[in-house]
Amino acid sequence: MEHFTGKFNLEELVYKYRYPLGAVFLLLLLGLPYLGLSQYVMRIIIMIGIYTMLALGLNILTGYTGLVSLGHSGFFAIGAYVTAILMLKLQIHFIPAAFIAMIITGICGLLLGLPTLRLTGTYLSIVTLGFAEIVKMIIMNWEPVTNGTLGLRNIPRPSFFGIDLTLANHGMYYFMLILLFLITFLCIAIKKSKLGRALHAIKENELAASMMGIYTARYKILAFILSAVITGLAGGYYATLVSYIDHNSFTFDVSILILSIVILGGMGTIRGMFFGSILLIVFPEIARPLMEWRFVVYGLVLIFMMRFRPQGLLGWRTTLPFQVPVNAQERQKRSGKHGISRS
Amino acid sequence: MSLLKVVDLHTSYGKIKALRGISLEVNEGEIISLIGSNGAGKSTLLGSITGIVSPASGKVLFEGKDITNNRPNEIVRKGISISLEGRGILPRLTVEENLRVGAYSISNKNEIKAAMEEMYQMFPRLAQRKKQLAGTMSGGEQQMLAIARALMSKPKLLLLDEPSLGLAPNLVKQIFQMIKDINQKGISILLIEQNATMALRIANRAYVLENGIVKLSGTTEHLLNHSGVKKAYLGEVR
Repeated sequence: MEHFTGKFNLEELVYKYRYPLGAVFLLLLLGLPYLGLSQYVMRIIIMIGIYTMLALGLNILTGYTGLVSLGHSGFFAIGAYVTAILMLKLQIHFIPAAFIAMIITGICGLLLGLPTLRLTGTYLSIVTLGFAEIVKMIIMNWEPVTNGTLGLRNIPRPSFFGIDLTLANHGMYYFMLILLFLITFLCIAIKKSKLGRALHAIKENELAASMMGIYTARYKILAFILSAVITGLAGGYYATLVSYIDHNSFTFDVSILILSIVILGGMGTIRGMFFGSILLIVFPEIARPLMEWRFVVYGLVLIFMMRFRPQGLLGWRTTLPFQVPVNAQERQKRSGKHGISRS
Repeated sequence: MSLLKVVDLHTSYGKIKALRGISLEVNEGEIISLIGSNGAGKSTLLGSITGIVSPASGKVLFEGKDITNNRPNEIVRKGISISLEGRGILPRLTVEENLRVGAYSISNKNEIKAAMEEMYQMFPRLAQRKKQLAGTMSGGEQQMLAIARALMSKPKLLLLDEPSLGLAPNLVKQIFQMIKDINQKGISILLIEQNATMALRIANRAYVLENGIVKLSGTTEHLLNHSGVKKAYLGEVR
Protein backbone atom coordinates (compact mmCIF):
# COMPACT_ATOMS: atom_id res chain seq x y z
CA MET A 1 0.00 0.00 0.00
CA GLU A 2 1.38 3.32 -1.00
CA HIS A 3 1.19 6.19 1.36
CA PHE A 4 0.91 9.79 0.40
CA THR A 5 4.31 11.30 0.96
CA GLY A 6 3.89 14.81 -0.32
CA LYS A 7 4.91 17.95 1.48
CA PHE A 8 1.92 17.85 3.75
CA ASN A 9 0.28 14.77 5.12
CA LEU A 10 -3.45 14.84 4.48
CA GLU A 11 -4.18 12.07 6.95
CA GLU A 12 -2.40 13.71 9.84
CA LEU A 13 -3.88 17.09 8.99
CA VAL A 14 -7.46 15.88 8.88
CA TYR A 15 -7.03 13.76 11.99
CA LYS A 16 -5.45 16.57 13.97
CA TYR A 17 -8.21 19.05 13.17
CA ARG A 18 -11.09 16.60 13.01
CA TYR A 19 -13.26 18.34 15.62
CA PRO A 20 -12.92 21.92 14.29
CA LEU A 21 -13.26 20.60 10.74
CA GLY A 22 -16.39 18.68 11.64
CA ALA A 23 -17.90 21.68 13.43
CA VAL A 24 -17.18 24.00 10.50
CA PHE A 25 -18.68 21.50 8.09
CA LEU A 26 -21.80 21.15 10.22
CA LEU A 27 -22.27 24.92 10.61
CA LEU A 28 -21.73 25.36 6.90
CA LEU A 29 -24.40 22.78 6.14
CA LEU A 30 -26.90 24.40 8.50
CA GLY A 31 -26.26 27.94 7.28
CA LEU A 32 -25.95 27.16 3.59
CA PRO A 33 -29.39 28.47 2.54
CA TYR A 34 -28.60 31.89 4.04
CA LEU A 35 -25.54 32.44 1.91
CA GLY A 36 -27.71 33.68 -0.93
CA LEU A 37 -26.94 30.83 -3.29
CA SER A 38 -29.07 30.46 -6.40
CA GLN A 39 -31.67 27.70 -6.68
CA TYR A 40 -29.48 26.02 -9.26
CA VAL A 41 -26.61 25.76 -6.77
CA MET A 42 -28.93 24.61 -3.99
CA ARG A 43 -30.26 21.90 -6.26
CA ILE A 44 -26.74 20.65 -6.94
CA ILE A 45 -26.06 20.65 -3.20
CA ILE A 46 -29.19 18.60 -2.60
CA MET A 47 -28.07 16.17 -5.31
CA ILE A 48 -24.76 15.87 -3.46
CA GLY A 49 -26.76 14.99 -0.36
CA ILE A 50 -28.73 12.31 -2.21
CA TYR A 51 -25.60 10.77 -3.65
CA THR A 52 -23.97 10.83 -0.22
CA MET A 53 -26.92 8.80 1.08
CA LEU A 54 -26.60 6.40 -1.85
CA ALA A 55 -22.86 6.08 -1.29
CA LEU A 56 -23.37 5.45 2.43
CA GLY A 57 -25.82 2.72 1.49
CA LEU A 58 -23.48 1.04 -0.97
CA ASN A 59 -20.61 1.53 1.47
CA ILE A 60 -22.21 -0.95 3.89
CA LEU A 61 -22.05 -3.60 1.19
CA THR A 62 -18.86 -2.65 -0.65
CA GLY A 63 -16.86 -0.80 1.98
CA TYR A 64 -17.70 -2.81 5.09
CA THR A 65 -18.40 -6.28 3.70
CA GLY A 66 -16.34 -6.22 0.52
CA LEU A 67 -19.15 -7.15 -1.87
CA VAL A 68 -19.09 -5.01 -5.00
CA SER A 69 -22.54 -4.22 -6.36
CA LEU A 70 -23.11 -2.70 -9.79
CA GLY A 71 -26.86 -2.79 -9.37
CA HIS A 72 -27.66 -0.15 -6.81
CA SER A 73 -29.57 1.89 -9.36
CA GLY A 74 -32.09 -0.97 -9.09
CA PHE A 75 -32.70 -0.37 -5.39
CA PHE A 76 -32.67 3.37 -6.04
CA ALA A 77 -35.37 2.91 -8.68
CA ILE A 78 -37.51 0.63 -6.51
CA GLY A 79 -37.38 3.12 -3.63
CA ALA A 80 -38.29 6.01 -5.91
CA TYR A 81 -41.08 4.22 -7.75
CA VAL A 82 -42.72 2.69 -4.67
CA THR A 83 -42.72 6.04 -2.89
CA ALA A 84 -44.02 7.87 -5.95
CA ILE A 85 -46.76 5.34 -6.71
CA LEU A 86 -47.98 5.30 -3.11
CA MET A 87 -48.05 9.09 -2.95
CA LEU A 88 -49.74 9.51 -6.35
CA LYS A 89 -52.25 6.68 -6.40
CA LEU A 90 -53.06 6.22 -2.72
CA GLN A 91 -52.54 9.85 -1.73
CA ILE A 92 -50.57 8.93 1.37
CA HIS A 93 -48.01 11.10 3.09
CA PHE A 94 -44.31 10.91 2.23
CA ILE A 95 -43.20 9.39 5.56
CA PRO A 96 -45.35 6.22 5.46
CA ALA A 97 -44.80 5.96 1.71
CA ALA A 98 -41.02 6.10 2.13
CA PHE A 99 -41.26 3.65 5.03
CA ILE A 100 -43.12 1.10 2.89
CA ALA A 101 -40.61 1.74 0.09
CA MET A 102 -37.79 0.95 2.49
CA ILE A 103 -39.44 -2.31 3.52
CA ILE A 104 -39.95 -3.31 -0.12
CA THR A 105 -36.36 -2.46 -1.12
CA GLY A 106 -35.22 -4.40 1.95
CA ILE A 107 -37.14 -7.44 0.72
CA CYS A 108 -35.58 -6.98 -2.73
CA GLY A 109 -32.16 -6.81 -1.02
CA LEU A 110 -32.96 -10.11 0.69
CA LEU A 111 -34.08 -11.65 -2.61
CA LEU A 112 -30.88 -10.52 -4.32
CA GLY A 113 -28.71 -11.53 -1.37
CA LEU A 114 -30.02 -15.09 -1.06
CA PRO A 115 -29.02 -16.49 -4.47
CA THR A 116 -25.70 -14.61 -4.51
CA LEU A 117 -24.40 -15.92 -1.18
CA ARG A 118 -21.70 -18.01 -2.79
CA LEU A 119 -20.66 -15.35 -5.27
CA THR A 120 -17.92 -12.83 -4.78
CA GLY A 121 -15.97 -10.39 -6.91
CA THR A 122 -16.76 -10.17 -10.59
CA TYR A 123 -19.49 -12.82 -10.52
CA LEU A 124 -21.45 -10.98 -7.87
CA SER A 125 -21.05 -7.70 -9.78
CA ILE A 126 -22.51 -9.26 -12.91
CA VAL A 127 -25.53 -10.66 -11.06
CA THR A 128 -26.23 -7.31 -9.41
CA LEU A 129 -25.86 -5.64 -12.79
CA GLY A 130 -28.47 -8.02 -14.13
CA PHE A 131 -30.74 -7.22 -11.22
CA ALA A 132 -30.69 -3.51 -12.05
CA GLU A 133 -31.49 -4.26 -15.69
CA ILE A 134 -34.41 -6.47 -14.65
CA VAL A 135 -35.78 -3.69 -12.47
CA LYS A 136 -35.48 -1.28 -15.38
CA MET A 137 -37.28 -3.70 -17.72
CA ILE A 138 -40.10 -4.15 -15.21
CA ILE A 139 -40.48 -0.39 -14.90
CA MET A 140 -40.63 0.01 -18.68
CA ASN A 141 -43.15 -2.78 -19.25
CA TRP A 142 -45.47 -2.80 -16.23
CA GLU A 143 -47.53 0.05 -17.64
CA PRO A 144 -50.64 -0.05 -15.42
CA VAL A 145 -48.51 0.58 -12.36
CA THR A 146 -45.36 2.36 -13.49
CA ASN A 147 -46.84 4.16 -16.50
CA GLY A 148 -44.19 2.51 -18.67
CA THR A 149 -41.70 4.62 -20.54
CA LEU A 150 -43.75 7.78 -20.02
CA GLY A 151 -42.71 7.87 -16.37
CA LEU A 152 -44.52 9.27 -13.37
CA ARG A 153 -45.34 12.97 -13.29
CA ASN A 154 -46.38 15.47 -10.63
CA ILE A 155 -45.08 13.57 -7.67
CA PRO A 156 -46.05 15.74 -4.69
CA ARG A 157 -43.53 17.20 -2.29
CA PRO A 158 -43.74 16.13 1.34
CA SER A 159 -45.54 18.53 3.64
CA PHE A 160 -45.35 18.89 7.39
CA PHE A 161 -47.97 20.66 9.53
CA GLY A 162 -49.56 22.14 6.45
CA ILE A 163 -46.32 23.56 5.09
CA ASP A 164 -45.23 22.22 1.74
CA LEU A 165 -41.51 21.68 1.55
CA THR A 166 -40.05 23.34 -1.52
CA LEU A 167 -36.72 24.39 -2.86
CA ALA A 168 -37.63 28.04 -2.41
CA ASN A 169 -38.38 27.83 1.31
CA HIS A 170 -35.39 25.52 1.80
CA GLY A 171 -37.64 22.88 3.32
CA MET A 172 -36.37 20.24 0.91
CA TYR A 173 -32.80 21.11 1.81
CA TYR A 174 -33.30 20.75 5.56
CA PHE A 175 -35.35 17.62 5.07
CA MET A 176 -32.43 16.18 3.08
CA LEU A 177 -30.06 17.15 5.92
CA ILE A 178 -32.22 15.34 8.49
CA LEU A 179 -32.35 12.16 6.40
CA LEU A 180 -28.63 12.39 5.73
CA PHE A 181 -27.81 12.77 9.43
CA LEU A 182 -30.03 9.83 10.35
CA ILE A 183 -28.36 7.62 7.75
CA THR A 184 -24.88 8.81 8.76
CA PHE A 185 -25.51 8.01 12.41
CA LEU A 186 -26.89 4.62 11.46
CA CYS A 187 -23.72 3.92 9.45
CA ILE A 188 -21.46 5.05 12.31
CA ALA A 189 -23.42 2.88 14.74
CA ILE A 190 -23.14 -0.14 12.45
CA LYS A 191 -19.43 0.41 11.94
CA LYS A 192 -18.68 0.56 15.65
CA SER A 193 -20.89 -2.34 16.65
CA LYS A 194 -20.31 -6.06 16.81
CA LEU A 195 -22.14 -6.26 13.49
CA GLY A 196 -19.60 -3.91 11.91
CA ARG A 197 -16.70 -6.01 13.14
CA ALA A 198 -18.35 -9.16 11.84
CA LEU A 199 -18.82 -7.57 8.40
CA HIS A 200 -15.21 -6.41 8.39
CA ALA A 201 -14.02 -9.88 9.36
CA ILE A 202 -15.99 -11.32 6.42
CA LYS A 203 -14.39 -8.79 4.10
CA GLU A 204 -10.88 -9.61 5.24
CA ASN A 205 -11.10 -13.38 5.48
CA GLU A 206 -14.42 -15.13 5.16
CA LEU A 207 -13.12 -18.55 6.17
CA ALA A 208 -11.44 -17.19 9.29
CA ALA A 209 -14.60 -15.25 10.13
CA SER A 210 -16.72 -18.39 9.96
CA MET A 211 -14.19 -20.21 12.11
CA MET A 212 -14.70 -17.63 14.84
CA GLY A 213 -18.37 -18.39 15.07
CA ILE A 214 -19.71 -15.77 12.67
CA TYR A 215 -22.58 -17.12 10.59
CA THR A 216 -21.27 -15.46 7.44
CA ALA A 217 -24.28 -16.16 5.22
CA ARG A 218 -26.65 -14.39 7.59
CA TYR A 219 -24.42 -11.32 7.84
CA LYS A 220 -23.90 -11.02 4.12
CA ILE A 221 -27.66 -11.01 3.61
CA LEU A 222 -28.06 -8.49 6.42
CA ALA A 223 -25.52 -6.23 4.69
CA PHE A 224 -27.52 -6.53 1.46
CA ILE A 225 -30.76 -5.62 3.24
CA LEU A 226 -29.31 -2.63 5.13
CA SER A 227 -27.66 -1.35 1.99
CA ALA A 228 -30.87 -1.71 -0.01
CA VAL A 229 -33.01 -0.02 2.64
CA ILE A 230 -30.79 3.08 2.77
CA THR A 231 -30.66 3.24 -1.03
CA GLY A 232 -34.45 2.90 -1.15
CA LEU A 233 -34.92 5.84 1.22
CA ALA A 234 -32.64 7.97 -0.93
CA GLY A 235 -34.75 6.91 -3.92
CA GLY A 236 -37.95 8.00 -2.20
CA TYR A 237 -36.52 11.39 -1.42
CA TYR A 238 -35.21 11.75 -4.97
CA ALA A 239 -38.67 11.06 -6.41
CA THR A 240 -40.29 13.86 -4.40
CA LEU A 241 -37.45 16.23 -5.15
CA VAL A 242 -37.51 15.96 -8.93
CA SER A 243 -41.28 15.22 -9.06
CA TYR A 244 -40.82 13.36 -12.36
CA ILE A 245 -39.20 9.96 -12.71
CA ASP A 246 -38.88 7.52 -15.57
CA HIS A 247 -36.67 4.54 -16.37
CA ASN A 248 -33.91 6.83 -17.66
CA SER A 249 -33.37 8.28 -14.20
CA PHE A 250 -31.97 4.94 -13.03
CA THR A 251 -29.48 3.79 -15.61
CA PHE A 252 -26.25 1.84 -15.26
CA ASP A 253 -24.41 5.19 -15.09
CA VAL A 254 -26.05 5.84 -11.75
CA SER A 255 -24.75 2.55 -10.33
CA ILE A 256 -21.28 3.35 -11.61
CA LEU A 257 -21.42 6.87 -10.20
CA ILE A 258 -22.36 5.56 -6.74
CA LEU A 259 -19.57 3.00 -6.85
CA SER A 260 -17.09 5.64 -8.05
CA ILE A 261 -18.00 7.85 -5.10
CA VAL A 262 -17.44 4.98 -2.67
CA ILE A 263 -14.07 4.12 -4.21
CA LEU A 264 -12.91 7.69 -4.74
CA GLY A 265 -13.91 8.81 -1.27
CA GLY A 266 -12.36 5.83 0.45
CA MET A 267 -14.10 2.50 0.92
CA GLY A 268 -15.33 1.81 4.41
CA THR A 269 -14.99 5.41 5.61
CA ILE A 270 -17.90 7.75 6.25
CA ARG A 271 -16.17 11.10 5.67
CA GLY A 272 -15.06 9.76 2.30
CA MET A 273 -18.66 9.36 1.12
CA PHE A 274 -19.33 13.06 1.70
CA PHE A 275 -16.12 14.13 0.04
CA GLY A 276 -16.45 11.74 -2.89
CA SER A 277 -19.97 12.83 -3.74
CA ILE A 278 -19.04 16.53 -3.50
CA LEU A 279 -16.25 15.94 -6.02
CA LEU A 280 -18.11 13.73 -8.45
CA ILE A 281 -21.34 15.74 -8.50
CA VAL A 282 -19.68 19.15 -8.65
CA PHE A 283 -17.10 18.17 -11.23
CA PRO A 284 -19.46 17.72 -14.21
CA GLU A 285 -21.11 21.04 -13.36
CA ILE A 286 -17.97 23.15 -13.19
CA ALA A 287 -16.48 21.31 -16.13
CA ARG A 288 -19.34 22.29 -18.44
CA PRO A 289 -17.07 24.62 -20.49
CA LEU A 290 -14.94 21.60 -21.35
CA MET A 291 -17.96 20.15 -23.20
CA GLU A 292 -17.54 16.51 -24.12
CA TRP A 293 -13.89 16.64 -23.07
CA ARG A 294 -15.00 16.52 -19.47
CA PHE A 295 -15.45 12.77 -19.62
CA VAL A 296 -11.85 12.43 -20.75
CA VAL A 297 -10.75 14.51 -17.77
CA TYR A 298 -13.05 12.48 -15.54
CA GLY A 299 -11.43 9.25 -16.71
CA LEU A 300 -7.96 10.68 -16.23
CA VAL A 301 -8.82 11.69 -12.67
CA LEU A 302 -9.89 8.11 -11.91
CA ILE A 303 -6.70 6.68 -13.46
CA PHE A 304 -4.50 9.04 -11.45
CA MET A 305 -6.43 8.09 -8.33
CA MET A 306 -5.70 4.42 -8.88
CA ARG A 307 -2.01 5.14 -9.35
CA PHE A 308 -1.39 7.61 -6.55
CA ARG A 309 -4.07 7.11 -3.97
CA PRO A 310 -5.64 3.67 -4.30
CA GLN A 311 -7.08 3.82 -0.78
CA GLY A 312 -9.32 6.74 -1.78
CA LEU A 313 -8.95 10.44 -1.16
CA LEU A 314 -10.00 10.35 2.46
CA GLY A 315 -9.49 6.66 3.07
CA TRP A 316 -6.61 5.39 5.11
CA ARG A 317 -5.90 2.49 7.29
CA THR A 318 -6.10 3.89 10.77
CA THR A 319 -6.30 7.29 12.30
CA LEU A 320 -4.68 6.25 15.53
CA PRO A 321 -0.96 6.79 15.87
CA PHE A 322 0.76 3.69 17.18
CA GLN A 323 2.06 3.93 20.73
CA VAL A 324 3.53 1.37 23.03
CA PRO A 325 1.48 1.45 26.24
CA VAL A 326 3.74 1.92 29.25
CA ASN A 327 2.18 -0.76 31.43
CA ALA A 328 2.50 -3.32 28.65
CA GLN A 329 6.24 -2.72 28.48
CA GLU A 330 6.57 -3.19 32.22
CA ARG A 331 4.46 -6.29 32.18
CA GLN A 332 6.68 -7.79 29.56
CA LYS A 333 9.79 -7.00 31.55
CA ARG A 334 8.31 -8.73 34.55
CA SER A 335 7.19 -11.91 32.87
CA GLY A 336 9.78 -11.96 30.10
CA LYS A 337 8.17 -15.05 28.68
CA HIS A 338 6.71 -15.40 25.20
CA GLY A 339 7.98 -12.04 24.06
CA ILE A 340 9.41 -12.42 20.62
CA SER A 341 12.22 -10.03 19.96
CA ARG A 342 12.89 -8.88 16.47
CA SER A 343 16.66 -9.05 16.78
CA MET B 1 -13.07 -39.57 28.79
CA SER B 2 -12.71 -38.86 25.16
CA LEU B 3 -13.40 -35.27 24.21
CA LEU B 4 -13.35 -35.64 20.46
CA LYS B 5 -13.96 -38.85 18.65
CA VAL B 6 -13.77 -39.27 14.91
CA VAL B 7 -15.26 -42.51 13.60
CA ASP B 8 -14.53 -43.85 10.12
CA LEU B 9 -14.61 -40.48 8.40
CA HIS B 10 -14.71 -40.32 4.61
CA THR B 11 -14.44 -37.01 2.76
CA SER B 12 -14.01 -36.42 -0.92
CA TYR B 13 -13.65 -33.45 -3.23
CA GLY B 14 -15.63 -34.60 -6.23
CA LYS B 15 -14.02 -37.82 -7.35
CA ILE B 16 -10.88 -37.37 -5.33
CA LYS B 17 -11.06 -39.15 -2.01
CA ALA B 18 -9.15 -37.09 0.52
CA LEU B 19 -10.08 -39.07 3.64
CA ARG B 20 -10.68 -42.79 3.39
CA GLY B 21 -11.91 -43.89 6.77
CA ILE B 22 -10.16 -42.00 9.53
CA SER B 23 -10.76 -42.79 13.18
CA LEU B 24 -9.09 -40.97 16.00
CA GLU B 25 -9.67 -39.83 19.51
CA VAL B 26 -8.60 -36.86 21.62
CA ASN B 27 -8.92 -37.30 25.37
CA GLU B 28 -9.37 -34.49 27.82
CA GLY B 29 -6.13 -32.68 28.64
CA GLU B 30 -4.13 -34.32 25.87
CA ILE B 31 -1.96 -32.90 23.11
CA ILE B 32 -2.43 -34.99 20.00
CA SER B 33 -0.24 -34.51 16.95
CA LEU B 34 -1.24 -35.34 13.42
CA ILE B 35 1.72 -35.71 11.12
CA GLY B 36 1.91 -36.57 7.48
CA SER B 37 3.29 -35.32 4.22
CA ASN B 38 1.61 -32.92 1.80
CA GLY B 39 -1.72 -34.20 0.59
CA ALA B 40 -2.08 -36.77 3.35
CA GLY B 41 -5.43 -35.27 4.33
CA LYS B 42 -4.48 -33.40 7.48
CA SER B 43 -6.18 -30.13 6.65
CA THR B 44 -9.19 -31.91 5.16
CA LEU B 45 -9.60 -33.73 8.45
CA LEU B 46 -9.62 -30.44 10.38
CA GLY B 47 -12.03 -29.03 7.82
CA SER B 48 -14.35 -32.01 8.26
CA ILE B 49 -14.29 -31.69 12.04
CA THR B 50 -15.06 -27.97 11.96
CA GLY B 51 -17.75 -28.11 9.31
CA ILE B 52 -15.94 -26.31 6.49
CA VAL B 53 -16.17 -29.38 4.27
CA SER B 54 -18.93 -31.91 4.76
CA PRO B 55 -17.85 -35.54 5.07
CA ALA B 56 -19.41 -38.20 2.86
CA SER B 57 -19.78 -40.67 5.69
CA GLY B 58 -18.58 -41.28 9.22
CA LYS B 59 -19.14 -39.48 12.46
CA VAL B 60 -17.59 -36.71 14.53
CA LEU B 61 -18.47 -36.84 18.21
CA PHE B 62 -17.67 -34.04 20.65
CA GLU B 63 -18.27 -34.72 24.33
CA GLY B 64 -20.34 -37.70 23.27
CA LYS B 65 -22.64 -35.63 21.02
CA ASP B 66 -22.81 -36.00 17.26
CA ILE B 67 -21.54 -32.82 15.60
CA THR B 68 -21.11 -34.18 12.07
CA ASN B 69 -22.21 -31.63 9.45
CA ASN B 70 -22.77 -28.87 11.99
CA ARG B 71 -22.06 -25.40 10.65
CA PRO B 72 -18.76 -23.77 11.68
CA ASN B 73 -20.52 -21.17 13.82
CA GLU B 74 -22.31 -23.89 15.80
CA ILE B 75 -19.06 -25.80 16.30
CA VAL B 76 -17.36 -22.75 17.80
CA ARG B 77 -20.17 -22.34 20.31
CA LYS B 78 -19.81 -25.97 21.35
CA GLY B 79 -16.21 -25.41 22.39
CA ILE B 80 -13.96 -26.22 19.44
CA SER B 81 -11.76 -23.46 18.16
CA ILE B 82 -9.36 -23.49 15.23
CA SER B 83 -6.31 -21.49 14.31
CA LEU B 84 -6.07 -21.69 10.56
CA GLU B 85 -3.15 -22.57 8.39
CA GLY B 86 -1.34 -19.47 7.20
CA ARG B 87 -2.64 -17.74 10.33
CA GLY B 88 -5.87 -16.33 8.89
CA ILE B 89 -5.66 -13.11 10.85
CA LEU B 90 -7.54 -10.04 9.68
CA PRO B 91 -4.71 -7.80 8.45
CA ARG B 92 -6.60 -4.53 8.33
CA LEU B 93 -8.06 -4.75 11.79
CA THR B 94 -6.06 -3.88 14.89
CA VAL B 95 -4.83 -6.54 17.27
CA GLU B 96 -7.57 -5.67 19.74
CA GLU B 97 -10.28 -5.82 17.07
CA ASN B 98 -8.95 -9.19 15.94
CA LEU B 99 -9.33 -10.50 19.46
CA ARG B 100 -12.82 -9.04 19.72
CA VAL B 101 -13.84 -10.83 16.56
CA GLY B 102 -12.40 -14.00 18.09
CA ALA B 103 -14.74 -13.56 21.05
CA TYR B 104 -17.66 -13.30 18.68
CA SER B 105 -19.53 -16.23 20.17
CA ILE B 106 -19.41 -14.69 23.65
CA SER B 107 -21.98 -11.99 24.33
CA ASN B 108 -21.08 -11.09 27.91
CA LYS B 109 -18.93 -7.95 27.78
CA ASN B 110 -17.13 -8.56 31.07
CA GLU B 111 -16.26 -12.05 29.98
CA ILE B 112 -14.73 -10.72 26.77
CA LYS B 113 -12.75 -8.15 28.73
CA ALA B 114 -11.45 -10.80 31.12
CA ALA B 115 -10.53 -13.10 28.25
CA MET B 116 -8.71 -10.28 26.52
CA GLU B 117 -6.76 -9.42 29.68
CA GLU B 118 -5.82 -13.07 29.99
CA MET B 119 -4.51 -13.11 26.42
CA TYR B 120 -2.47 -9.96 27.04
CA GLN B 121 -0.98 -11.59 30.13
CA MET B 122 -0.14 -14.66 28.14
CA PHE B 123 1.18 -12.79 25.13
CA PRO B 124 2.66 -9.50 26.37
CA ARG B 125 3.87 -8.80 22.88
CA LEU B 126 0.26 -8.44 21.77
CA ALA B 127 -0.52 -6.08 24.64
CA GLN B 128 2.16 -3.76 23.31
CA ARG B 129 0.62 -3.83 19.89
CA LYS B 130 -3.06 -3.48 20.81
CA LYS B 131 -3.74 -0.64 18.39
CA GLN B 132 -1.45 -1.80 15.63
CA LEU B 133 -2.86 -3.24 12.44
CA ALA B 134 -2.43 -6.99 12.57
CA GLY B 135 -1.06 -7.16 9.02
CA THR B 136 1.92 -4.99 9.94
CA MET B 137 3.24 -7.36 12.61
CA SER B 138 5.97 -9.93 12.18
CA GLY B 139 5.17 -13.54 11.30
CA GLY B 140 5.70 -14.76 14.85
CA GLU B 141 3.48 -12.06 16.29
CA GLN B 142 0.77 -12.84 13.77
CA GLN B 143 0.91 -16.51 14.74
CA MET B 144 0.59 -15.55 18.41
CA LEU B 145 -2.39 -13.41 17.52
CA ALA B 146 -3.98 -16.26 15.60
CA ILE B 147 -3.62 -18.56 18.60
CA ALA B 148 -4.80 -15.90 21.04
CA ARG B 149 -7.79 -15.19 18.86
CA ALA B 150 -8.71 -18.87 18.74
CA LEU B 151 -8.53 -18.95 22.55
CA MET B 152 -10.87 -15.97 22.92
CA SER B 153 -13.94 -18.14 22.41
CA LYS B 154 -12.94 -20.21 25.50
CA PRO B 155 -12.60 -23.53 23.71
CA LYS B 156 -12.29 -26.92 25.34
CA LEU B 157 -10.45 -28.18 22.28
CA LEU B 158 -8.03 -26.13 20.23
CA LEU B 159 -7.22 -27.20 16.69
CA LEU B 160 -3.95 -25.84 15.36
CA ASP B 161 -3.19 -26.09 11.66
CA GLU B 162 0.55 -25.76 11.04
CA PRO B 163 1.39 -23.15 13.65
CA SER B 164 5.09 -23.28 12.78
CA LEU B 165 4.54 -22.59 9.09
CA GLY B 166 7.05 -20.08 7.76
CA LEU B 167 8.57 -19.19 11.11
CA ALA B 168 12.25 -18.99 12.07
CA PRO B 169 13.49 -21.95 14.16
CA ASN B 170 13.76 -20.00 17.42
CA LEU B 171 10.20 -18.74 16.94
CA VAL B 172 9.03 -22.28 16.30
CA LYS B 173 10.43 -23.26 19.70
CA GLN B 174 8.60 -20.40 21.38
CA ILE B 175 5.33 -21.23 19.69
CA PHE B 176 5.60 -24.86 20.82
CA GLN B 177 6.34 -23.72 24.37
CA MET B 178 3.15 -21.64 24.23
CA ILE B 179 1.17 -24.63 23.03
CA LYS B 180 2.40 -26.56 26.05
CA ASP B 181 1.43 -23.70 28.38
CA ILE B 182 -2.04 -23.51 26.85
CA ASN B 183 -2.43 -27.23 27.36
CA GLN B 184 -1.47 -26.85 31.01
CA LYS B 185 -4.49 -24.57 31.45
CA GLY B 186 -6.69 -27.57 30.67
CA ILE B 187 -7.32 -27.06 26.98
CA SER B 188 -6.92 -30.16 24.84
CA ILE B 189 -5.01 -29.67 21.64
CA LEU B 190 -5.10 -31.33 18.25
CA LEU B 191 -1.98 -30.22 16.43
CA ILE B 192 -1.29 -30.59 12.74
CA GLU B 193 2.34 -30.25 11.85
CA GLN B 194 4.85 -30.83 9.10
CA ASN B 195 7.61 -30.33 11.62
CA ALA B 196 7.34 -33.91 12.87
CA THR B 197 10.20 -33.82 15.36
CA MET B 198 8.77 -30.90 17.31
CA ALA B 199 5.22 -32.19 17.04
CA LEU B 200 6.15 -35.59 18.43
CA ARG B 201 8.19 -34.08 21.21
CA ILE B 202 5.36 -32.10 22.80
CA ALA B 203 2.45 -34.49 22.17
CA ASN B 204 1.12 -37.31 24.32
CA ARG B 205 0.07 -39.38 21.38
CA ALA B 206 0.26 -38.99 17.64
CA TYR B 207 -1.34 -40.21 14.44
CA VAL B 208 0.54 -40.56 11.19
CA LEU B 209 -1.64 -39.86 8.15
CA GLU B 210 -0.85 -41.12 4.70
CA ASN B 211 -3.10 -40.88 1.63
CA GLY B 212 -6.20 -40.33 3.70
CA ILE B 213 -5.82 -43.16 6.18
CA VAL B 214 -4.21 -43.48 9.59
CA LYS B 215 -1.01 -45.36 8.87
CA LEU B 216 0.31 -45.47 12.39
CA SER B 217 -0.72 -44.30 15.79
CA GLY B 218 0.45 -44.57 19.34
CA THR B 219 2.36 -42.85 22.09
CA THR B 220 5.02 -40.45 20.95
CA GLU B 221 7.85 -42.46 22.53
CA HIS B 222 6.77 -45.38 20.43
CA LEU B 223 6.58 -43.32 17.25
CA LEU B 224 9.85 -41.49 17.84
CA ASN B 225 11.60 -44.86 17.90
CA HIS B 226 9.65 -46.37 15.05
CA SER B 227 12.00 -47.04 12.17
CA GLY B 228 9.51 -46.15 9.45
CA VAL B 229 8.62 -42.84 11.07
CA LYS B 230 12.27 -42.07 11.58
CA LYS B 231 13.03 -42.68 7.96
CA ALA B 232 10.04 -40.87 6.48
CA TYR B 233 9.49 -37.91 8.80
CA LEU B 234 12.39 -37.39 11.16
CA GLY B 235 15.11 -37.45 8.57
CA GLU B 236 17.41 -39.98 10.17
CA VAL B 237 20.36 -40.96 8.05
CA ARG B 238 21.62 -44.48 8.30
